[in-house]
Amino acid sequence: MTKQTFEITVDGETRSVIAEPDMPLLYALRGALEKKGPKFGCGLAQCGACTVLLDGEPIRSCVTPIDSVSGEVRTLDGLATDGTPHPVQAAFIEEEAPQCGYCTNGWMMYAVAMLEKNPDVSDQEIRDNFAGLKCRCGTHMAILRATKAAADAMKA
Amino acid sequence: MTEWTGRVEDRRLLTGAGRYAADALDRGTLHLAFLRAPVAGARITGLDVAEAAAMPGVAAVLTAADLAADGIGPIAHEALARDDGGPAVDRPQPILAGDEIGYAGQAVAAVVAETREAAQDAAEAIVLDTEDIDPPSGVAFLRRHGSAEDTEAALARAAHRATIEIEVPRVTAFALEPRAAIAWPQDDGRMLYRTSTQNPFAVRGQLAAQLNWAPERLHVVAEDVGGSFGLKGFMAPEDAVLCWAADRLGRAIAWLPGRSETMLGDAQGRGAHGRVTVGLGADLEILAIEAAFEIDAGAYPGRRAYGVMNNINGLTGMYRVPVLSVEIAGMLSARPPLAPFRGNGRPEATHAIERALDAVARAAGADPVEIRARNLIGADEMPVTTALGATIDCGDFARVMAAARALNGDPAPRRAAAEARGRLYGVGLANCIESAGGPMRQPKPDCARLDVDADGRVTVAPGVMSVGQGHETGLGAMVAARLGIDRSRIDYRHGDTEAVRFGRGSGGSSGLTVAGSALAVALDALIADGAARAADMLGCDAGDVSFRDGAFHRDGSNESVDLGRIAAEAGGWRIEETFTPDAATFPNGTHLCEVEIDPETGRTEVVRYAAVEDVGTVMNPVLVEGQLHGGIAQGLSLGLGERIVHDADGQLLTGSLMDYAMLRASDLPGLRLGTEEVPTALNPLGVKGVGEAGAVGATAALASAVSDALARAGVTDFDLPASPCRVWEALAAAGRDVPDA
Ligand code: FES
Ligand code: FES
Repeated sequence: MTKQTFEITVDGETRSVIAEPDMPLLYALRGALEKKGPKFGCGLAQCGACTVLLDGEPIRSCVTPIDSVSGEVRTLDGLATDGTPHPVQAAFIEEEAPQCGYCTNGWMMYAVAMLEKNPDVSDQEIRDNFAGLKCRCGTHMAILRATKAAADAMKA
Repeated sequence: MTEWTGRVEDRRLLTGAGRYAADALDRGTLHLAFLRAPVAGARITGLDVAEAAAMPGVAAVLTAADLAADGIGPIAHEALARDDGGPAVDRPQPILAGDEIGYAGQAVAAVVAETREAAQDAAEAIVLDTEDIDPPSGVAFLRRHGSAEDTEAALARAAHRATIEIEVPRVTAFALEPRAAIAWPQDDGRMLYRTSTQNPFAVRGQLAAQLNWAPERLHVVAEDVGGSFGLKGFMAPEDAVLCWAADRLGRAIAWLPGRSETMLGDAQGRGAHGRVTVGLGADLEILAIEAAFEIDAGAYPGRRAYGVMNNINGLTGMYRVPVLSVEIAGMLSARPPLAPFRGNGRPEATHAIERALDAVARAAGADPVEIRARNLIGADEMPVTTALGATIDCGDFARVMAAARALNGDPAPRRAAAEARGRLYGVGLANCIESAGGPMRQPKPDCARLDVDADGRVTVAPGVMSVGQGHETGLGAMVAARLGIDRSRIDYRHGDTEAVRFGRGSGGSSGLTVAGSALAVALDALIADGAARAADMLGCDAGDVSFRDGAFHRDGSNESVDLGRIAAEAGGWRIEETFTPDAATFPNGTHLCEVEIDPETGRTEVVRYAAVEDVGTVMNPVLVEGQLHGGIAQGLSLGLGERIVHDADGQLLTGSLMDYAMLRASDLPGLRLGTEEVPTALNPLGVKGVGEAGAVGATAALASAVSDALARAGVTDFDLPASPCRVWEALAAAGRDVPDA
């Protein structure tokens, strides 16, 4: 396959990337675009560590070919504004939610997607929202608490 | 604006600024990919790399022949003498397979190329021919404890006895960050090796020995690590290949494997089969335990297959056991080598004794909780040396058990409600105790370094490293409190063989007990040394100087000298101290688990969980809770369905999360956690260690709950994992009226 130039908007900036069309978005983000928030966990859409938002919806960037991306990509790296953490980040910090922190990108991005649409969520809705995410360190309870706290903060 | 409070490390981890191994990848780095054996139990009859070597972008194709030409042998291993007098088996693990393939997934050749894709494509173009041979089999190691005769005699006069079997499947660590590494030759001839490891010093030492290099030639660095759990504590063949290849080519090379590759090629954890008999006397007192374990030690059974053997002392649990007989046999197989996985033999031992106690309680028609309570070693009997030679220095098991039961509350109404809904309900209890900060027979030291600069900033470098535990927060807080300075004046370095003289890394629940204690000793030494220097500067006796708020004050005056001035005067100020525990500590706990089983689907749901642990002094409750939580989640995940399966030909059938069931957030109930502090005198902090505690108790408590639920439906010999299919089959086999699946 031959390389092409793709324009993508990431965290509010439009950047161009030279890549083969089937290159996973994750590689472009972590490589040329220097967004290290999304992580390679499985490359198989099974863990969520690579999650970014595409027009507000969580996607698995490890299985998203770069040529299929049209719309605005938002990553963990772009969540804070001027050093002020996003309410979801603030809540994860307050609850000391991560352990190794490798999976946490996925949980935060799913939480952001859900709560920015509607912060009025039940515990069950929070659990359902996270159904496809993995954490090997076992931080699940702290993450559920943090997400609930973020929801409360965003409702206020 | 929100303040950044909480864990220090979270500031970078939650903004994408963490530094995991692959984050350091530079442009222009070459990539390495492996050809992995597609079969197990085979001899290599042909290996043709010509086509691969000629492919675009390929810099080198390396095989066992190249290793041999450079004088690099297999990973040496000293075979253990067998207690049954049989032949000790020595099967050193090749770095790249040359003649023989031990297991499917073993690395056979390495390709280095300009891109990862080019390296992978070329690896696929290598032509490998093999012929089948008998797969590895037979006994690799064998250890015996206790007296078979005395045990037999005691069991013969038992009023009640029961035998159970446990099957602890092989599991994969599945750290969310796969193993990954980059080797960078430096201009001065040294090698910078950035790798996702929990023990940089072990990796450096083993690599140096393997490659015949001086250890100083290697600089091993791991900053943030995305979970490890025992897997990443040693040099794997891939590490040696990467450093060797980078040295040969004089170029930086990265190995960034995909998940399918690590599922296939990583060493695996657990893998034990156990058969345990317990006999009770007329007063329900334990008379004897007889146990035999077979470990699936894989094709290359090195030291890391010794988990059950090294941690078998957990088999006597918290109980008085007068006599026992134990045999542990490591069996060769056509499977990958074993590695420790959180608990490393401790969960297996606990699972075995606790299941056996449940079974003998059922045989005696007695309450399993009552049997446990009756046999507990009393707080007034400490220190006690068990029949397996462990000396437990302190503990109050009855208090721990009572606290856990109180925390859980009376299960009877919950059972009644669930049964009224047609569910099977099980209540399980497991007592667990494990050695920590060992090895038990000869604990290893750890180290801590403090550097003070002329501005009074303090750099802390402990020998332990965090792979998620939050040591940066815990140990940083310890320094801030002891020196009376703000946390923002403290820098923290870990995971770097040049930050401190040596270090144990992360493992064996030793972080706070050993490295934390080394840090406490170093802080005392810094203050003592500082007092002497300050006295000199102030022209008084050290005895007239007192330390507070980061400065030495001359008593009865307003003169003082702060840390920075001492460092400035001395032209740099470094204190490095070590700590070696006299003996291992014994964290212990009681876990209660309640499950509901749907008899129609076989699905097991954990609906309630409570645990109380005595981890000694609790220094940071949030970090302790995190460790317990994480350990319990892993223990439950293993019990609910995690299981590596190979078919009869040694092919991996569970190569991704499609087939390998790992816990989700919705599988967990809220956990009720408590601590009872019985501080140990074995270290200055009074801490016992917490990293493994959760995992040691959880699988056993789940097994106890599931067997309770199923026993009520007539299933008497069920063991984990409690996957829906296995539970359903057991119910069907017991003649329970279940609908067809
Ligand atoms: S890395 Fe994309 S889902 Fe795991
Ligand atoms: S915090 Fe380590 S995997 Fe979730």
